[in-house]
Amino acid sequence: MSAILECRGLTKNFGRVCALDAVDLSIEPGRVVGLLGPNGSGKTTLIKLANGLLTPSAGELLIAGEKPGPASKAIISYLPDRNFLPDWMSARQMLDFFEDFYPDFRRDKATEMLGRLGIEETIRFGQMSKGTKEKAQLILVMSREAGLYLLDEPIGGVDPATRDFILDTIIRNYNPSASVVISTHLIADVENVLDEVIFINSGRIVVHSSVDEIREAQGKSVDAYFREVFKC
Amino acid sequence: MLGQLIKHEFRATARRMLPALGVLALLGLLANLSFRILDSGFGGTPLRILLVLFIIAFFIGMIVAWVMALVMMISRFYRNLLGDEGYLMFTLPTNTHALIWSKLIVSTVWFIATALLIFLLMMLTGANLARMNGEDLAGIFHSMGEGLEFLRTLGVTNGSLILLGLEFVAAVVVTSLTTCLQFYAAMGLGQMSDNHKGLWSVLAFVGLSFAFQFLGTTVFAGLTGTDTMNVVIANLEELMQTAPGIVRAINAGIGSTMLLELIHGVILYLITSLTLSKKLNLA
Amino acid sequence: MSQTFRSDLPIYTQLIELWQRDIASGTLPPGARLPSVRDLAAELGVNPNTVQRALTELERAGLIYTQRTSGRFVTEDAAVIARCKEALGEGLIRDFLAAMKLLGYQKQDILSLLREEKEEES
Repeated sequence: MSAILECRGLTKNFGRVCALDAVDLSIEPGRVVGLLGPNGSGKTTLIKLANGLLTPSAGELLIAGEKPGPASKAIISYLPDRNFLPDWMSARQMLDFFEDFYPDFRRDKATEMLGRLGIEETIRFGQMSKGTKEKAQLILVMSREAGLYLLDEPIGGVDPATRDFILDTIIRNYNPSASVVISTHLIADVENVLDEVIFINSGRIVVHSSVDEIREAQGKSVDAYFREVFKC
Repeated sequence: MLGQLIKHEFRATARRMLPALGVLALLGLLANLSFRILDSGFGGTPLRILLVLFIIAFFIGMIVAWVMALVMMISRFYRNLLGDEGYLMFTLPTNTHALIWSKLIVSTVWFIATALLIFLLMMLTGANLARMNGEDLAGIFHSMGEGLEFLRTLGVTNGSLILLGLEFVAAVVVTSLTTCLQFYAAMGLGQMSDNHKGLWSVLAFVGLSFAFQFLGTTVFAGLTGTDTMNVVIANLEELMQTAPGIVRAINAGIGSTMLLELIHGVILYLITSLTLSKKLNLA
Repeated sequence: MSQTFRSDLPIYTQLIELWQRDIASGTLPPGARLPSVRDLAAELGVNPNTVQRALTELERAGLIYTQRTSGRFVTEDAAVIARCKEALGEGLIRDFLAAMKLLGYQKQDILSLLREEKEEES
């Protein structure tokens, strides 16, 4: 099977700071991958490069064999680490927006999930709490039948019920031809839903392995192994 | 995709611009009514002060509408593309050109709509004041028609007048696009900075204005006194002898200015699209 | 997401044990239909590939079988279930004996302790 995401010597510098240092990486379809690393390790930079929000300083990044562009953006569903919902728009207007731009958007799915969380479609985002907006944004992103989901810190700073909703949504949405990349530093929370993990530190990939292999070989959880690898 | 972008851009801007233009139209009507009432000598001092205030509000309203269209053009670009909303916009399955053009087209439509409304309201006010001064509207139109007839007897063709009108419309559109692009290019350059994007955008705007001014002056200074320039001036002097010649000279003037403005616009567009595609650096 | 897992073993091996116990004890009776992989994964809060892997192992051991159109079922072969139960029981006894041995008990003492326990029960 060909990789859905592939990096070859991918490097990104911000001025003199090197955020990613010659990263080689390949993610196959049908996997749920944890992109794990401390803050500032390069997780967000990698995800932004995959989305074409940044351009590489050297090396290349391919999505289903192509450089980031309109074609790759059509198959990537991206949850940024910030809120992109305009305050003046209502949830319903945003559903219209997603429906217009993404042929793979399943409006009925989004409506059902909004209903399940009790989010009124007529309410404007400006009137929603921060947590509600985060949930609404996740619902929009997960209601696409994308080939690659890039979720940047989806569970950072949410309450346990929301975290369970997010993980449940990821599991229920699982599709053997799609991959999910979840970046986080809260490993224990996501460990059970992951197929494989990538440890990233100072812009380099330290470990890329399946969760089962780590537990078998190390006899400990990924969380414990992570602490061991990253202990300072 | 461009069509969808334009549709949503209208949705985002109309919620501010339509009420603003509506209020302006209302102020225009109120001001004209006020002129009439004041003229008729009806009412006491408090009412008359209020009426004068309506008239002042109308004139301020016209300026405010312009400023709003301008601020809207800038803030839509800055907030929707370069702020947090940019994370949504730049990951849509479309290219940077479509994003820029959707903003350009919608801003230009609002500029023209604002200008058209102000023009209509001014015409209305003019006609209203003329009526109050006892002038016959039909007479005014009649004398305007006579003026055109006179031009025709001097040999000015209908075709050249229509061309002049078309050129004027084109000039309005090109000027609007270039104005937008001057801001867009500045913001495109400014966002490349890792911090102080706003400050760098302002500096880029000043820098771009200065650069183009300098370029224009240099080119003009370089041309002055050259043989080509002398020939052009001689031709213009000859044209100015007759009425059709004057119209043609104006045609040529607007045409060449527009051509320069178009070049200016293309350079600004290239700066905008290159900074937003190759050098995109969302905060 | 009620299920808790040990963190030092792969989840799929824990799932295999869990379902082996359920089948041996009859919690999952012979011929019972299993939920879909997606539903099992959501219910347990684990990755669907992990569930798939555990089910494949169980299928290889003959404890479950797949009917192409209607899903996965617990085997109706009583002999296979009995063998599974036996293996689980042996494993428990082995662990128990090893633990007792660590405490210093001899086989005779263990047997008499078990007899006492049985009498108390009845």
